Amino acid sequence: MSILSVNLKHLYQRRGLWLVYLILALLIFGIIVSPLVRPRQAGAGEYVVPVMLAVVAGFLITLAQLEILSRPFAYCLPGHRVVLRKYVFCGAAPVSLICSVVFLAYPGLDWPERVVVLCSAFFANLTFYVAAAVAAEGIRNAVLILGFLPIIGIVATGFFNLDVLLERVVVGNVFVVSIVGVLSSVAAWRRLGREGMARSHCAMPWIGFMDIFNKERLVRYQNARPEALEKRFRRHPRPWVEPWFLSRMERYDYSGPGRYYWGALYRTSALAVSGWYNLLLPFFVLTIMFGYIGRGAGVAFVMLTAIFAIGREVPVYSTMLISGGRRRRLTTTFWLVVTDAVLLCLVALAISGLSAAFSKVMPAFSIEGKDFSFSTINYRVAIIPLILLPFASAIELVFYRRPFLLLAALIVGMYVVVFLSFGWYEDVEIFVNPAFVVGSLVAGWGVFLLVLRRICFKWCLVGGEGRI
Amino acid sequence: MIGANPIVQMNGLSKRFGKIQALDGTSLDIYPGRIIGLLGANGAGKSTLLRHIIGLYLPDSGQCMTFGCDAAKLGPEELGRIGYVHQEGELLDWMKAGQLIRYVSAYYPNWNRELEEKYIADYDISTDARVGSLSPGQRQKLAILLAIGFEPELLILDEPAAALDPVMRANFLDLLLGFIQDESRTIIISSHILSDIEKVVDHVVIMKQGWILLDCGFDELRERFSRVRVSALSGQLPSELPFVNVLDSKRSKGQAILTVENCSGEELQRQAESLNCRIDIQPLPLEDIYRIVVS
Repeated sequence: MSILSVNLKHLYQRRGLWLVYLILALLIFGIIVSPLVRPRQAGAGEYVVPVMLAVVAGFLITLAQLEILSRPFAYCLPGHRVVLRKYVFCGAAPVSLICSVVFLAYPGLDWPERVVVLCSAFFANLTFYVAAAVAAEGIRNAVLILGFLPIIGIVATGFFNLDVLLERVVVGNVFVVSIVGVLSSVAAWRRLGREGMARSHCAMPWIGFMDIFNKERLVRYQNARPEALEKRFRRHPRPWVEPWFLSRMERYDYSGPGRYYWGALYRTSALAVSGWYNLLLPFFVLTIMFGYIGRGAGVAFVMLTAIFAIGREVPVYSTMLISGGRRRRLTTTFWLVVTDAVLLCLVALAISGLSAAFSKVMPAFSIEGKDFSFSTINYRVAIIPLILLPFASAIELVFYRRPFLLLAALIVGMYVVVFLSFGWYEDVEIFVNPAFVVGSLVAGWGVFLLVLRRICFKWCLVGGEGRI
Repeated sequence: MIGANPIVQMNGLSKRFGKIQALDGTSLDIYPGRIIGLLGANGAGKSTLLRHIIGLYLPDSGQCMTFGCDAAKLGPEELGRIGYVHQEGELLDWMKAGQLIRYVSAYYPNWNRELEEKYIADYDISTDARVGSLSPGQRQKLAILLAIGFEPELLILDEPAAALDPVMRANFLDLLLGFIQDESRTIIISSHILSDIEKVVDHVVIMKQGWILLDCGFDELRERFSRVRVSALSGQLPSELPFVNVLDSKRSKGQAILTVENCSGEELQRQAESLNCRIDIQPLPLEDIYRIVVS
């Protein structure tokens, strides 16, 4: 078996990629069936939407191979140093072709013209594909950029109409597009096979594709770059933080739950408390953003709560032995999540209050015919973190060591919330009903407590598969 | 401490991770005042066994009692008597070393500041350095300080010296010997550097694939296995040597080197004299004993 074939096998052997394939398949399905709902319009940029798939594919295929190339053993394997460009270009033709087939249905063209436009679209997609591959190779931890691609796409199409421009170029400048496609491919071929490229990646600390959801891997990545860690924490925590937390710990008995609670709060919150002023800017930005979102602010708070739960460290799974047993881990984690929920609730109230003040001064404006006006955020959104944080925390605890499933659960949860929000209810008024609020609170915290209790008393708390 | 009750009692402990049987009906008693060397290949079940003692793992079947309490139910009072240095080296990377020491010490009423200061000076720990930026060796030293600072009765060391240089390893062994001067203390040390731990252990437990192959005193083990150099006093050695329980033999010209089990010195001496040979009996290094037991 050739080195290239062995490496290509990673594309189906890595289970983390299966989720991506599922998402891409859904997107392709959406692109295929969308004309059944509403026919595509020529010249409106709708035929070049698949170019985003070419970009994502270029990124992913390159990142998958770079992840292998960054391992020192791969550098020493015969033929591995030059396999990257072969690997990337293996995917180039099929991806570009798949992304171009929509042009076969381009209206107003006869068949020979359609074939020519198809070729043009092929080279356009090829250009974007290789550009993404070169970017993924050249930018450190390019996997993080994947998260920004939807925003880049929205800005490029919504504000600059680049999709319309691209479609016009593809249909109207076939020769130029083809030349650009060939030249960019040659440039990418040379770039990805340059002297010393493999050496520059060998043994470099690397955030892998699914590592962004794996806290342990991220910590390992940070440890591999001590200078970055030192720079990041240069001024934190501030000198007052340690005595503040330690003095609170010392108010309680050595074996008392209070000491463990404050200790855990110190461990998990010291950096945030120390840099509290860094939170002010996001606070104002969120207020303005939510104010303009209007009724959708409730959904935004749901997402904010989920993101908070996933980013939060809880002292359940830890090998660093301090003298608290499983019972202490349970009580400490429970009260930490209660504290978080209350704090988020207060933040939501503060955002609501600030939005009321801002609503008197924030201007209304219009973009591309869409009107945006600032409205006061309903103070009732404050109940969202209190209800949802225990659910989100329970999911995070269950899938703590399974980032793939955590991501899948998050996506499913988001779909459910978005469906409920836009499909059934259009307002946060659902939370007005006292019976619903009380019922949700009891259910959420009950589920969380049951899950936490199960984990603390029945599961292994470090390493391995983790459960009985 | 002969006659004392065991501080750890494991009875029929089994643990499976997916297809891997990490522990398979393991039973072991650990008595106070011992330094126990826990040996075994990678994946033999050493770390799993140690994690059961402090209740981080729960068994599929069987029971582990630590200080007379079910390990799963260990509370602050019992865990306050146990120090643990673990393989993963999980520490709070954003803290400075000094902050981490103060943080951990806040959980222990009997934290020994004198010991802490002495250790920091002897082992050259920079308390102002960020934990995350410490070298693996420095992290290991810090982890050891956090485990011994409150002078625990039971000290569990899971690959504690792997990241230390030879000089630091020697200092570390001295530290352990000093620590065990108090007869109520017990140390369980898991390591692959057998030449180091044979200097300090008085009891050996050897594991393989979740089983305990051997559990006995180190002196007893050294008496059981020995290396015998047999030299002919004149001429060549006989082609057949009449020694029994020979595990391995190597011959060269007028001498042979035998590895024997359960042979008394007097018996070997008597047989050598009958062959007109001279013998030199030496205890076997732990590494060789381990190899014999495991194979």
